[in-house]
Amino acid sequence: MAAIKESEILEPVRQTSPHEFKRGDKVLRFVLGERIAHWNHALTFLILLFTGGALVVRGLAGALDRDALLLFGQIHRIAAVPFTLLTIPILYIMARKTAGKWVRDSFTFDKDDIGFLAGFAKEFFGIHVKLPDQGRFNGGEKVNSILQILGWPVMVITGWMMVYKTDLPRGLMEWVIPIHSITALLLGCAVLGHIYLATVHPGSKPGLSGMFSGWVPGKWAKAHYRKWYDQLPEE
Amino acid sequence: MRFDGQGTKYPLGLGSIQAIPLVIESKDPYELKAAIFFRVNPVKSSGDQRRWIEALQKLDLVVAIDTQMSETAMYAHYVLPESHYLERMDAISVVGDTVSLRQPVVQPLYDTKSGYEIIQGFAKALGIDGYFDFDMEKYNNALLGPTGWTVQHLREKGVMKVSATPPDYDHLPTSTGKAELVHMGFALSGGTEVVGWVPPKTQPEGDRLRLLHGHVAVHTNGYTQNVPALFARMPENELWIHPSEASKRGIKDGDRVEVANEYGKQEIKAKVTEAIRPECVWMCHGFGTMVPEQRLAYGKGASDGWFYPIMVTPVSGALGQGDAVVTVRKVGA
Amino acid sequence: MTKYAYYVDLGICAGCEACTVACQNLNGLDYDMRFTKISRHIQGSYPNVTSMFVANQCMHCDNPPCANVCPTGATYKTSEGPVQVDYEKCIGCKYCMTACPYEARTFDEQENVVKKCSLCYSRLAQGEQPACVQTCLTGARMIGDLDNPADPIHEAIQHDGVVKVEGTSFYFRVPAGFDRNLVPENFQAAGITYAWQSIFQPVGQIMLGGTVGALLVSMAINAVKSMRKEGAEHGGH
Repeated sequence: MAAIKESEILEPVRQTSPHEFKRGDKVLRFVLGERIAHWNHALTFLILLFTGGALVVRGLAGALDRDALLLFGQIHRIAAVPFTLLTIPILYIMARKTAGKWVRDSFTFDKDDIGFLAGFAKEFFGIHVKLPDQGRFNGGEKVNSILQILGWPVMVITGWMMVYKTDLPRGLMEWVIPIHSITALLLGCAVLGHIYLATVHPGSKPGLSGMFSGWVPGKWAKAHYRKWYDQLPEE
Repeated sequence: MRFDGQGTKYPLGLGSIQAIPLVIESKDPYELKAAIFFRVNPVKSSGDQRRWIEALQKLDLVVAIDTQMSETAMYAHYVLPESHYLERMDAISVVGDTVSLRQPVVQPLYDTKSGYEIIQGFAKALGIDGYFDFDMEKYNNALLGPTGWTVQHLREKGVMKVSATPPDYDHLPTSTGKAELVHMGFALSGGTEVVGWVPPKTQPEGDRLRLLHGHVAVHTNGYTQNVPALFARMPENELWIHPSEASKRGIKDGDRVEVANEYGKQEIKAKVTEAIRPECVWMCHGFGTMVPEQRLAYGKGASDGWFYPIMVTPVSGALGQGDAVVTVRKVGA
Repeated sequence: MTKYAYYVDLGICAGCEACTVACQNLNGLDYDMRFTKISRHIQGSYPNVTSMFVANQCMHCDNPPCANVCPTGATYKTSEGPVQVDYEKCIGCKYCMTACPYEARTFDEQENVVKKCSLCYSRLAQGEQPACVQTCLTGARMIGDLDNPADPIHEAIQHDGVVKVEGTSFYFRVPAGFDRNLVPENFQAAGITYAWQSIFQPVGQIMLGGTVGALLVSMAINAVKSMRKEGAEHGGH
């Protein structure tokens, strides 16, 4: 794969149309705003998951001493600020069109997406099956996106309510706290799978560069996102 | 002859502190020039607070001995600080067959003396200290003498029971040997043989309500309002007023109200409650502290002392309280 | 065995709040923080008015939700009944405060821990009474051992008007003419606590375990496959 020049990384910031395109053997998959938003969300989420998990999972909490847990509590509240405030403004300012398209895509399921989900379970465990052609995001990615899009406000709202838990009605907090925990657990499972696919799973890990440089190998994109790839313009 | 008429004008009386301002004003039976107050605060607790203050200002010498700065101490020329009850030994106390000792559990925290040591100091200055050549322990040992015990025993036990003959209720020490409702002593003291009802001088009429006062279990008289633990439990008193009278005046629970009559005026929080007679209002005694040194309690709540005239009751010479009516209105209305 | 129970005779509580202050002094609390609280209840209309004082503190529930939600195990139920807080372990997350049905817990801003009545457990162990019981001027408060048939508390809780607050360690005598609802209600486990413990938590654990398991299986299969592939390539040379 040819070295990526700095100008190529920054280029997509401008959000010129088209947002994604082919250049030689590479394809621009994510513009800069999407990547920054992704990493803001991902890093703050992981910090929140780790510190929050230590606070509520009794085995973990019992293993750590009080000072460590108090520090975790503080980190949890601090990380909650960029988690709450930054992702949407970044997407809005830097990647309005692609982000809008991502949201619309995520909630649009066709029979190919369903077919993908059915086949992917086998693919995941190394059994090769013919998967239907996918758009920019495959059915699995859409499920992950939906979980994040819906889970984020749940975590943010219940989380900030918990900061003021003793000022709010007991009957309300009785629900808010478990909802925060169970949603975190659900999202945590999704994130585990997401990280595995991005970094370990041989079929999907070539896509990881898309979240760093923005570019992915054209061959890989063609194999995984045929419908999207075919309609991409050449630069 | 005592200035307050105890033993003369009031043969059955036990002493009338409220006679002090009356005698200062009238110079009858003689002119008062000095007063020494020992652990009392009559400015606040013996009626007509303003009249008390004006009277004390006419004296050549006012001395107050107390454990805290009181309203009376405020108008004294000299304040002699007394040790707190946990810092001093008092005379033993006997209730029925039970003897108890109040003993110091800490050294005095500040430059204070016990009440007895202060009296000893006076005696020395007057050259009569020969009569006071004992300390409180020696005094208590003398009192305990017949029981065969000493202060040392009480120190260890705190409280002791003595074998005492219970009173014989079948033969009371009266002329008839029975409880007497008819008593010539009352008649000889200027009253009637049977104690009778004397109507109060004031009646709740028009927009006036009778002022009552009383106590609660949290505070003791006017002595504990500045104690942090008790201040936290009850920082101020409230004026209990019946809903019907409150609504006539546009007063809601928790409103600030002004209580007033010809003697005084105070501001206090209203408590609108069914637990008071409609024609009466009630407040707890001991609040409305005028003394800035009582940093917590200062200015909190109201003092009933401003509203009662100074009255000496016939026969007993006791303090006549509760004979006052007041107006109540919402502050700012 | 010992099973502690606490009895308050509201018919003779004088409302002096000496219990509150003794407790504050023993526990070194600020005077605005109370483990045991007294409030006055007035009912009826003049002239038929009655009044009583109502006492409130940690009820030392049989199955305390505060201990169930505590993430660090700082709050725990002892076998003898009293629910304890280990301040060394408390991280001030306040979950227990939202879980407590009796609002018996307070947050100490300075120490960043949640505090409450311990029933003077350490004093009980030394054969002493809780500060509130020992100081009570009218003898309205009593602590006793239900497992000891000779304990005077058995007689006390037989009095007319005694209400057992079900699911807790508390008995109150409510004088005639006063409603039982003036004293704390019977313990009721919140539905959500049940759902959390019996549904959400196990489901979450299965979910998490399933995810991790799936990842491991996938990893293993892919590793084996790539090894085979490599082996085949080597074999070809």
